[in-house]
Amino acid sequence: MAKVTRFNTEVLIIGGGATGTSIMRDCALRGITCILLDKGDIASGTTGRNHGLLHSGARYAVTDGESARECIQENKILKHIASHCIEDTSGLFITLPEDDLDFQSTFIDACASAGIDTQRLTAQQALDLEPNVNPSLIGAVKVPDGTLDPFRLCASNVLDAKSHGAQLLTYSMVQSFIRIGDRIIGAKCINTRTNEQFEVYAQEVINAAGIWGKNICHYADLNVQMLPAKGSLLVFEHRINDLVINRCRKPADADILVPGDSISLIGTTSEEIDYKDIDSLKISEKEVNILIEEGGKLAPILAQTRILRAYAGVRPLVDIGGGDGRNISRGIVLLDHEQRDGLAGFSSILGGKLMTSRLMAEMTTDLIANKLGNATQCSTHLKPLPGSITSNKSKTKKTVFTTKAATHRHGETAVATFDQSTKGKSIVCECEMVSVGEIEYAIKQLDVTNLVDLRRRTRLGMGSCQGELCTYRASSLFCDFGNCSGYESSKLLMQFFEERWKGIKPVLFGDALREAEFTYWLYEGLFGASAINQLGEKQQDKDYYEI
Amino acid sequence: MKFDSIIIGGGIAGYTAGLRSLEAGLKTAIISNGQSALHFSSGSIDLLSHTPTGKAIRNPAAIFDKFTNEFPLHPYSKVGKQTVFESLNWYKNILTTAGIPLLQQEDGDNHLRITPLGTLKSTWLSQPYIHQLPMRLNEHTIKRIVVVQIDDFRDFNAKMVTDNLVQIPEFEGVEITHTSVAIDGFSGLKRNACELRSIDIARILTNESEIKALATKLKTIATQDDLVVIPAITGNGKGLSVLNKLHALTQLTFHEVPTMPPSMLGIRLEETMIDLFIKAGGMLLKGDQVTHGDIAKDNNSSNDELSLKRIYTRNLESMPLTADNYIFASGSFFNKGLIAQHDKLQEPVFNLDMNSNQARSTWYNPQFFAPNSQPFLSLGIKTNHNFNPMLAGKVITNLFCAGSNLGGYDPIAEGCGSGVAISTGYHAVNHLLQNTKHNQSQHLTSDSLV
Repeated sequence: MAKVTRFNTEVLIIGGGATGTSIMRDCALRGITCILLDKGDIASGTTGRNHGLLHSGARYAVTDGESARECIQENKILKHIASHCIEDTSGLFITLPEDDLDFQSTFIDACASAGIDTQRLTAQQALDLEPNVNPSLIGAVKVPDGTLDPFRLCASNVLDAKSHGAQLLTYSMVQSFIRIGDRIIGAKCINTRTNEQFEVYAQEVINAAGIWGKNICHYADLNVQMLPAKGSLLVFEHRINDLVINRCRKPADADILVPGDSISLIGTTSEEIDYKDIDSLKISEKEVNILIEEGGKLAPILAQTRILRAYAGVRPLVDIGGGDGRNISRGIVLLDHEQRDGLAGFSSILGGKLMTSRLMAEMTTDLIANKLGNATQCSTHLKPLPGSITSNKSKTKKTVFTTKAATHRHGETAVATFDQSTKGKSIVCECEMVSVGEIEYAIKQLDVTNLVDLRRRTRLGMGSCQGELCTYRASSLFCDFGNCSGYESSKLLMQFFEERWKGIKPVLFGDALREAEFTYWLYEGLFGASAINQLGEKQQDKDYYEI
Repeated sequence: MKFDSIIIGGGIAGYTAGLRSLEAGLKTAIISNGQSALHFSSGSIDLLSHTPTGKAIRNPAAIFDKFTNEFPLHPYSKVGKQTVFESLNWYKNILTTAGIPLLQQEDGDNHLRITPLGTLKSTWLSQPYIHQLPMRLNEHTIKRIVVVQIDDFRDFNAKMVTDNLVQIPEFEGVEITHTSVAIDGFSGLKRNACELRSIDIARILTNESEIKALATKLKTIATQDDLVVIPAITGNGKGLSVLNKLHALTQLTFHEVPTMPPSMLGIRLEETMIDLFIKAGGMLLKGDQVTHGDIAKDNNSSNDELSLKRIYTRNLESMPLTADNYIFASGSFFNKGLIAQHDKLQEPVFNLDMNSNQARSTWYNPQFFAPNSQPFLSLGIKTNHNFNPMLAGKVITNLFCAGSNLGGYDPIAEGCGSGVAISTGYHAVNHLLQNTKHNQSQHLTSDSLV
């Protein structure tokens, strides 16, 4: 039998989303050794498939005071520790003629009791702040909403955790748990890229797998009911709005428009789905139509703006008593399975939101640290993440566009380590200003194994060309910096376009269809890409059309 | 302005029609809105490499009759075998005379070209520095392949070509390597050389000393027994002259592969056609776009048919253009010859009838590089057997469609995009001449009655 690689650690964290990576950082900062596993890349699940909204909590103020209070508290903490992931844009809650203006007062009162600052604006004041907002609005309330880049947040958590001794294993899946009696002592795992099997032995295993957490519990023969609710969003080519725009009413479909770097996002729909469908989310024509129609009410200019792609995520709601996806509190559910089920060495952290991920990590790590007898206090709310530590003098320094963009993405410390040669400074992705040096850094330092991971770390291919030309250029850098063969780099290229296709299909009309046709002409017509899948097969006479 | 024929669209179909129309002695104009698909084309002419059912084709002439019987609605079936081959030979001859020889297999077989990914793709006519591999690949005579990387040039990846080529079973025993060559002129540039595109390098390589320096370097990395695979980085107004010089200086056997856009191989074809068209007295309205036209009942027709009276362009708003006949070669979605809205397909200039009214969920396949291609590539304008389009079911008798705005074929999967463009462009002029003769004979009849 082949020797199985064995890892030993204090804590094994399953799931590399915002919660898992926050726990990883929290553990590492308290001196607890940990390994984080994800079956894909970090932030490749629900974490990377939402609005990227830095909630002020205002959205929940009327319906869910507890969530609102958690949001505003974390909002303030994140602005301090993760400033490089955040744009402090402010948000508007607008009232349209068909909405009830009386709701505004209810809303403002609820915000006040949750500790959220509000400012009532006239329609004209709102238009002055945000010229693209629907001009027929009859009132607006300004709140401290902003944007939060979930990819960057997770990457920074990992970067900081690793520098404190933590270990990340991406594309690694749990296959079963290793138990001694009523205690879980580790997990048997497989690397999904190499099919290599390995074992991780840990004193405590934390299930932070979000919606996939139900499956993880199954491995431990435990039952947790989760309610998968799909939310779909559309990405627009331009940055339409500078402020987050919400509707001032009870939460509904497609009523948040969020700016994000060079684009804007409208979402979301909400649709209960079967648990078996969580890995094959489909966005229907109807959903796209709703998003376009409702989005147009927030900013009418959306109707004339090119749609780049669509995507969907699954809300990781824990079923604590039925109802549709939207009326369940997005509350944090921390399960100590030793107490709940008599199974030691295993805990689950479920529910919650991107906004409360750090808090969820703090709660979980408090529990685990206590079990491990570690008395170190949590410091994740005090210590800035690597990218957020900036010196003051740089603000005035004249910088090139790529450096500016990369500094936003990775922070000043990292950018200073980029290759500064002519080659290193050359631009690969013109839409998002990604340089060779940045890609080298991502491949070597940020656990990037393919072009889709690279997109999540650097935004390469996220802009208006959707990676048409730059991914080819970037694929060769995986040969230079990632030990890829030419064959592997061509497979990466095809994998990228297949992944991208998932988001383009639901919006395949207008310019999205034009761009897709161009991509197809280039990669299939000119480059013969589909033949890569048949490489190595000999010509067969039977495949020919003859008389 | 009044013309005998006006061609809307400046791609390969449009220029074919324009050149053919001038040859027939007609006063001809082409209205072209910017760059065509030739800027990202292989510069080879695909005739027919696969059936719509996915079977590979070795010799298009040999199977043509069977093909047209089996696929009667394919544009080739409407054009007919004789005109298809006549048009392609005509195209080959005019390009060859103009300095871009297009070569083919002696037996009329397709041949295989090495692509920028190091895969093989079948085509019919190729430029001289495209190495034609036989369709029966095991009959190739290659001993060694050297793939040349240009230092700092990111739009071509020699390692990718090499690592994929070695996996082709028929190349077992062929030594395939890649090596890198620097272009001296990169060092003195104000721009970052790593960001140069193929066309920028082509500009540098118009300099004699650069060509000589490159030739010297190439001679040190390859021998006359080798197939030297190089990215297409020459041309830019110079056609094949730079490659001819490189060949004369090195005596090496080159195989050019297109790069990331722009494709110099395609640009050579476009520049040559534009040049021929202008020299032959054609009127080229470049950078202009037809916005709409006046369509009315066709007075020459006894049926309920229509005729295009005049067209309007963006630049000549108040000055409509008129012609006896119009050829509509406006391209597909990318060129905005076709528009896909979220609930329907549309031809944006004349609102012509389309060949499908199915929901957009039928326009695509789940996989991007699906073995059976993408259905949207076969969407297009509905035409009768003469390629006349229709408006609300009524035929427009003096308007002929050509090239990729036509529906009913898949230019990529069937490997027939340029062949359909040339043959339908050529065919359109044949029909237009018939229309003209018909009108002239009517005039004669009425004159003789007086």
